[in-house]
Amino acid sequence: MGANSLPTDATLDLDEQISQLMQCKPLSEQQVRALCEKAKEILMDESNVQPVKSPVTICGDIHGQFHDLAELFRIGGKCPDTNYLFMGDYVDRGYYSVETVTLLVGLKVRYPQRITILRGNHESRQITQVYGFYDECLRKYGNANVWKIFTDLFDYFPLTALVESEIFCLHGGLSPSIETLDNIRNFDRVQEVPHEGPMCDLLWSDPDDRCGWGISPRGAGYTFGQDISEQFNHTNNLKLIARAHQLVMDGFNWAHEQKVVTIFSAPNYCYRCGNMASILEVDDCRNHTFIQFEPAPRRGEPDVTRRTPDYFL
Amino acid sequence: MIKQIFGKLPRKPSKSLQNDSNGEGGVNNSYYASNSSTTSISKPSSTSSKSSSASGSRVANGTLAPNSMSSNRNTNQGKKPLGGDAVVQAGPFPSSGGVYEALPSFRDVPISEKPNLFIGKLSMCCVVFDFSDPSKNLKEKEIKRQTLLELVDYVASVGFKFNDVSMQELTKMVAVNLFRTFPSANHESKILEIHDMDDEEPSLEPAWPHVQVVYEILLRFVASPMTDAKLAKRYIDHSFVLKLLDLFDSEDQREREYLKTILHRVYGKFMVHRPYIRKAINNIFYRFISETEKHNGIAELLEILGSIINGFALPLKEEHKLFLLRALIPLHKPKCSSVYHQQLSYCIVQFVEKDFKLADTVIRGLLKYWPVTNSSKEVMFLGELEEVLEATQAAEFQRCMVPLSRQIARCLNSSHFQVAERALFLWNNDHIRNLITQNHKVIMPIVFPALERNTRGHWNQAVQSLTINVRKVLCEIDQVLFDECLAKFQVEEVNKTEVKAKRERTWQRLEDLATSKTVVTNEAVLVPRFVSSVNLTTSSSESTGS
Repeated sequence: MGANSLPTDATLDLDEQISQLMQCKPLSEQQVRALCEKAKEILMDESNVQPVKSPVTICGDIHGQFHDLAELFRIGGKCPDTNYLFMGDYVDRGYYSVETVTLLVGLKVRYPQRITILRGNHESRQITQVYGFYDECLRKYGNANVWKIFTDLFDYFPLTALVESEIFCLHGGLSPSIETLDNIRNFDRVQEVPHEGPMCDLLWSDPDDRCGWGISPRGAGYTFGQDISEQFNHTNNLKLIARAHQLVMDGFNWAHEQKVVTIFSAPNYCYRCGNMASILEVDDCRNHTFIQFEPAPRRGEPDVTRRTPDYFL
Repeated sequence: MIKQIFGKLPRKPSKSLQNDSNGEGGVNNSYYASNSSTTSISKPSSTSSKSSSASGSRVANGTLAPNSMSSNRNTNQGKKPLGGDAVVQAGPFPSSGGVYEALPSFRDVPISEKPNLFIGKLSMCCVVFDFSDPSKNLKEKEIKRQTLLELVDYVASVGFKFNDVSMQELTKMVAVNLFRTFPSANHESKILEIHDMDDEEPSLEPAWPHVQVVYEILLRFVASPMTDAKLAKRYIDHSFVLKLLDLFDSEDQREREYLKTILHRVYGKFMVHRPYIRKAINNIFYRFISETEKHNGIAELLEILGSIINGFALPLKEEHKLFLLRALIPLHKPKCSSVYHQQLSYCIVQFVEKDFKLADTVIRGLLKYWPVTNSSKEVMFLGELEEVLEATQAAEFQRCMVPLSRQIARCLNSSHFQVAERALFLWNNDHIRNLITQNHKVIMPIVFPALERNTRGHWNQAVQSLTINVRKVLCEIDQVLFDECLAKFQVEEVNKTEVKAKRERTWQRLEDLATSKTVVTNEAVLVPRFVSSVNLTTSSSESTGS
């Protein structure tokens, strides 16, 4: 009721929340609940293959590396000045999954047309309980409510996006059960990521040097060869498949004779891998530019020290 | 290989004698110096204190000159004893005038000469080389390594008991090479601890090619039937043991592995040291638990203790029970306990298996330190709990079953699927299921609501179906009580909704009242207390979506 009667106030609130989040300060449980309610309304209207216009900047995994996400915005331009398309894996591994995912959802609610946030394989209940987001919520909020709110929201995230009908963007890769984009448009995505099947494959698969379909060493999804990518792009009139999901040392990596590109946006992944990060700018003329970047100087650190007692004791 | 190397090396004892005259303590001299001083050994006690004071004095800036081992030598040189330091800082090795050359092989001297040659080789190995620069003193490093290897063979195959001198020199050599302080990562800034606690790559000991062989020598020495504990305890004394224990903080897992084996042997062989070793380990634990929460060797120490506890005689001494209470149980608390949890769990279960009366204490201890924000640790606790319960008898179980059941209920209800699963698996254990069945009147009312909530809406399928099984087990135990619990649960659910609805109505009334007042009076300043509650109302009704 508040949102309808006082739209300007709500916007002001949200702007305040976003600037608070920009300083890596988490919202309260109540604020998160309200934010995710609004986000759900926006996301449930988006398509499984969400259409996106250029210019847009396409980004890969973030994994709770909040300060590197802030660096990404400094380099790529602020939202909404720059349009963004994130391809999933906002949480787990890094130390600021809560702040990272809250900020992205906040931006989505504030600028629904300016930012697209897809689902990654880590946007799932089971995975977040094993790789850190769940425990981080317990540490920062004292209970699992915020984890539940977010994982319930993840079910609504679109699985793929299509930039100007020619760049197909998704977190993982292709699926043997999917031939056309319409196949994807047709299934019900609002559920926990299943252990198998087309929805699982889109979030888990990887391109491979070997032809055809292969068994993925990850235990979910498949590996797919150049023949598969070529066939899929041909069938769907695509120029390129842009995906994330794999650590690549330069931040981006071409595969399958430029039919597939991997983009990874968490520099020095897990604070130890020593990799570059990158984002892909697609301009109005559909030109591609990769921008690489290194880890942000750790400016959040004084904050961390001050908050240490709350989180780590 | 060794033969080839030695074949090429000149053997010139006479030259060594000449070296001795320059008084700089060249390596070769020590052989003869020790040779000539076998009858005048310094007092063992002072020796060991010397070796301990030498620890940590490894100088990083370069090779050290061989030390002059015996005190008479220091006086010969007319130098200050330098506090008896085993490592005399006579400047970088090359400039000290000594030449680092291999001594003759044991095979090439008559039996009567072997003990003296042994001493000589030990002295030679007291030179500590700088491994931070891999290209430095390559030849000398190789000579020392070969000499150390010969010493391993000698210690392993010696046919007569070690005498005082050889034990003194051997422990001294061990002390000089091993006893050192580690760069203290412990006291780095808090930030570093947060960020790199689990991720830090363990650093490997650069001097391992030498250090390893020295450990091997110490191990063979301690294990050798030719080492008489009654004599050796003068050299492997309290101070030596303490220094050995300090080394358990090494980041190098290979080193800790050696230490574990050696300390275990020392504990076995030197009965007289046993209480002291236990006390020293206790102190390490205390410091770790209440001060640093940082130590690399807790798992290894616990592994040794597991075996020690295994050998405790019954009835258990008070000292041992206190150890369980004051060290082992609190060891569950540190953040990093997952690193050593397996070994800790083994020790705890050993205690309960020795004396089942301790079960109640142990279970209450686990409940006290039960993790709140660390799910993987919680899964480990549940694993340990199962093992402890396995050894628990009815009487002790009854003493703690109420708080225990409450904790289990919380775990059953956890949103974390692994925690919930692990708790549900407790019902797969026959012994535990029997304990529960015998006491179902108390336990069922506590755990029932948790199970019911799971069946009604746990997100995880596996948890749901496991819950249904456990629910069935409870139902079969006592259908009447089960139905009572279900009825009570339903009543409470209704009550809960009513309370919630009532609260919302109150807020609504308050909000309406506030709005109507502001509209009527149009004077916001009149009721400041009311204004603040209006704000509260608006925000809360917004968030609940009412």
